Amino acid sequence: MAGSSIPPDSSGPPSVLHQRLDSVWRNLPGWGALGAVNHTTIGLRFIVTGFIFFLIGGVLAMLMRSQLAFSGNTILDHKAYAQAFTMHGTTMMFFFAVPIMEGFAVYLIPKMIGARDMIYPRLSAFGYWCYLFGGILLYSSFFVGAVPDGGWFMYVPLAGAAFSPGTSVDFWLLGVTFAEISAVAAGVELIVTILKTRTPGMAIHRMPLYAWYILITAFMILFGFPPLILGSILLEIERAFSLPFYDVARGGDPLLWQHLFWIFGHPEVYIIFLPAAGIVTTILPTFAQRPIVGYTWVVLAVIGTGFLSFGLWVHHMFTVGIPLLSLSFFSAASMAVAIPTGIQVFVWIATLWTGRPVMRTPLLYILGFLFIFVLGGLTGVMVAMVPFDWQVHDTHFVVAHLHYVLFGGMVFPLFAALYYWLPLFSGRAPSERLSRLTFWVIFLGFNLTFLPMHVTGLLGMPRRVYTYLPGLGWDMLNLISTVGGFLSAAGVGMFIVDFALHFFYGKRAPANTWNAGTLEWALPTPVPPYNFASQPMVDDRDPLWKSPDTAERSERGEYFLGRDNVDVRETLLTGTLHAEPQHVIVLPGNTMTPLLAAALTSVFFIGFLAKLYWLAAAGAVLAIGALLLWAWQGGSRAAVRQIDAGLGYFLPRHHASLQSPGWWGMLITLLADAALFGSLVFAYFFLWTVSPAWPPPDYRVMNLLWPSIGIAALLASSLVIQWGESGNRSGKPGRLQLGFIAGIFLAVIFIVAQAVGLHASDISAKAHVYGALLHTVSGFQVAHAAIAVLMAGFVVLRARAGHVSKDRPVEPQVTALFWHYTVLQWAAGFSVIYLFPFLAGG
Amino acid sequence: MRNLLNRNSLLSLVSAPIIWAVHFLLSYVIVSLVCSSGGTGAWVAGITASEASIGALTLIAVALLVYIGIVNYEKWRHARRSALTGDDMSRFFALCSVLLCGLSAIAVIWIAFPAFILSPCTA
Repeated sequence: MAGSSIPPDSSGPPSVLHQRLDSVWRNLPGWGALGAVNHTTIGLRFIVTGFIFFLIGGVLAMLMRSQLAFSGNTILDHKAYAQAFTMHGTTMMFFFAVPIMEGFAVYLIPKMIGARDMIYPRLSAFGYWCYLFGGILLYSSFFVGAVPDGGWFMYVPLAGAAFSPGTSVDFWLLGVTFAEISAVAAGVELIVTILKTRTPGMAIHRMPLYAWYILITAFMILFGFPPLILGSILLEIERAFSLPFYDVARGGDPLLWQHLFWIFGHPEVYIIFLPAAGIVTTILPTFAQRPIVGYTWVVLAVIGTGFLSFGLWVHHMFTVGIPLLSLSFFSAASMAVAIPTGIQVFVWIATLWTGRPVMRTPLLYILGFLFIFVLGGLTGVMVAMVPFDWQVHDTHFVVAHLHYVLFGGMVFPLFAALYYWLPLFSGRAPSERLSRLTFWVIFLGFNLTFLPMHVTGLLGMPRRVYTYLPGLGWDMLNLISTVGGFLSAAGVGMFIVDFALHFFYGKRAPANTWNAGTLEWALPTPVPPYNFASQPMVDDRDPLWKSPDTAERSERGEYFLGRDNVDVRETLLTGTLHAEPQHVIVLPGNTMTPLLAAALTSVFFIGFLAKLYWLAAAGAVLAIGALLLWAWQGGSRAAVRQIDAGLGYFLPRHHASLQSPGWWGMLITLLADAALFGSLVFAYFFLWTVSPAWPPPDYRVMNLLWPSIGIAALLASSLVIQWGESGNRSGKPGRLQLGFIAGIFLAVIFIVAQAVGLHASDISAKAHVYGALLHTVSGFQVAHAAIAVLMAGFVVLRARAGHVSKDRPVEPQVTALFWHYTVLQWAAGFSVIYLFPFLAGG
Repeated sequence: MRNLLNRNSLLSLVSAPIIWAVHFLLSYVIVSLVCSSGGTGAWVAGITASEASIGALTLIAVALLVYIGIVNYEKWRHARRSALTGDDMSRFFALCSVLLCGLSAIAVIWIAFPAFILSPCTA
């Protein structure tokens, strides 16, 4: 333990402990920095890249506003205008709003919950590279003249092969799907990080509210993104291989795309808004100088919003001809979601009201947020009403509404966050005068743009139309909006200047710059790569207000994991509810594997885009190879021993744990996987309801012999895998290898039987959606079985290499979990494609 | 405290909104099925098939929510009385469950309401 006392903002000589931790945790210099996996670095990369995309999206917005400034303007023709609004929406939603909010979560969550890093550092890095490469892939469409122009929602049939024959839609589908891998990856690791690595004493009811917001958001990502990923995969399959899903002539339905898109698209709005609301709920108590009013009510509101937001999607489809009663369900849910949102607004007001507010720049942005967001919420309730929506659908009223919600609800809190947490990053405070001026320019510019736009929309001006005739009463309003748009852009420019200047002229920010209560402010500024010299023990929701000496004691190494002889990155694994210390997790350090895996994945996407399917296949095989290499790097062969974790705790390393980080990660990933499969089943039944006969009339009854052999083999495989896995836990390594090899054998029988069965059934995948779905559901399952085979083979090799034993049960256990899920999924899949048509009277 | 629905657990906590979600999904499925099978005229004592099934579904959902609300309210009162023993976690889980039951019940009733006013399949 280090004896010397370091005040939190000291720049004096670091102690032995700090030197040691720094040598273990710091990023490599030069090109080696590409191998950084530390959450502080990765979080910042997400934030900076997201902000660059914000600027690009903003430039596109200014192009559109310039075009609309005068009637009959010719800056953009209709094609360029369509490209501009498509790329503006796509960039802002997929490449700015979601990633930058994830970036903040990755940067802040470990610091707020007293951990040293995210639980899967390599996955954070992999997610970042997928996001970056996905964005580059999408924007490379500008270089080949195939810029997507079908709107950010890419509706079919416009986006189908018949009406968009080039590659522009493929750029969109592949680029966005690539970036979504990053969102889902971040979702998985944020959930496990929050549930399993909170510092001791931070029981679930003392967790910072920001962590609650991120926890719920991450779950929403897990259930919300898979429908769009599935919809995109189906559309790409239809475009590339002509399997019908949306093509009416062959039994498909374009509405399926709208459903899948908006089942994602509406929760998406809350996936963006909730982290921003979490930022508000974190910053507001600091400037009100009191704990938040109604902690439990906020948790209620966040959970309630998380659920209700999945019942709103059809409100984007009020005009497509769905039965009125069905619409009214979604209308009711859309109004009900105003209740939890209202609760949060009242909590914020009450906290300010009962506190002693200190007016600083971040609070100014929060107040701007409250004003704008409440107006956006009110117009939201207006468009939730079906008759009103019919009047304003596809007009500029909706554009105004959504910008009040998203710009007000997300961009203002984002600026508040950038100013608020700046000292952690740079160790300096921004200029109060310039930052306030910046706020007023953005605030006025924003309202000047979008307040008149409500009227433009009510006067009937449609969205996504590149110009308009004079004399319709729209001219002056549009000119005002354009002036306002450029004013906001100037405000953003001032922010960049303010940000750049603060590095030179900003005052040195003291530790806990704003006198906040949350743990991230126990860190010295700028923060060291290991966060806490020792992980603090907390017993309050605002630990720094309850125990002001937390920072000092943590710095002195008095808490957990404050040993000065560490040689690996460590953080604590704690109980889900009570956060009692359970294990010491050994975290991976700098490595290029995530970058390699993401680069090889991009070879797959590029190959697919260029229709060079051999290249795509090679990319996929190499990417899988990189992931196996990644998996091989983990684990430990060292003898299991207890480590002195501090404060009298002696804990084993996580390799000995039955519920290790890997097990949790698999469990949570399977939720997303199940959502993907659920979306496929939804697609199946949706297309069944629109189809007059199922299967189509001239299809003969299928022979179930081969599929039955397949499912029997798969069910049996689950038993032998379980037998092998439990053998390992009871100390019989021979049984493990035997069971897993038998499982591989049975799974291969399934794959062969399913392929032979499909071939023998003689049902074309291209003639009708029935055949397309039969092949797609089967293909989905075969892919799962193949992954399961790879995992089991990996475990056998690992067991031979001595990485698996009774004391190191993780890898067989994780594989068995995935295996059982795969079998269970096929029990459902088999019932859907083979038993259901039989029961439905085909 | 052997009741699954008032345990201190994250799954028990979200049981109320899960009930809402199931009710919502089934209501939507019922209307889709009724309309795609053209069965709007299936009258039973003046009640359509969709009204009867959504009505029954709503009664079950609300009854469950009221039950979960009551057991958690009892738990909350108990935890508040014994506040000196410091079982803050039980208090938190109980209150949050009660509130979620309230919100879910409002949403369930709100969503079911139009089923008794509108005829199911008019576009």
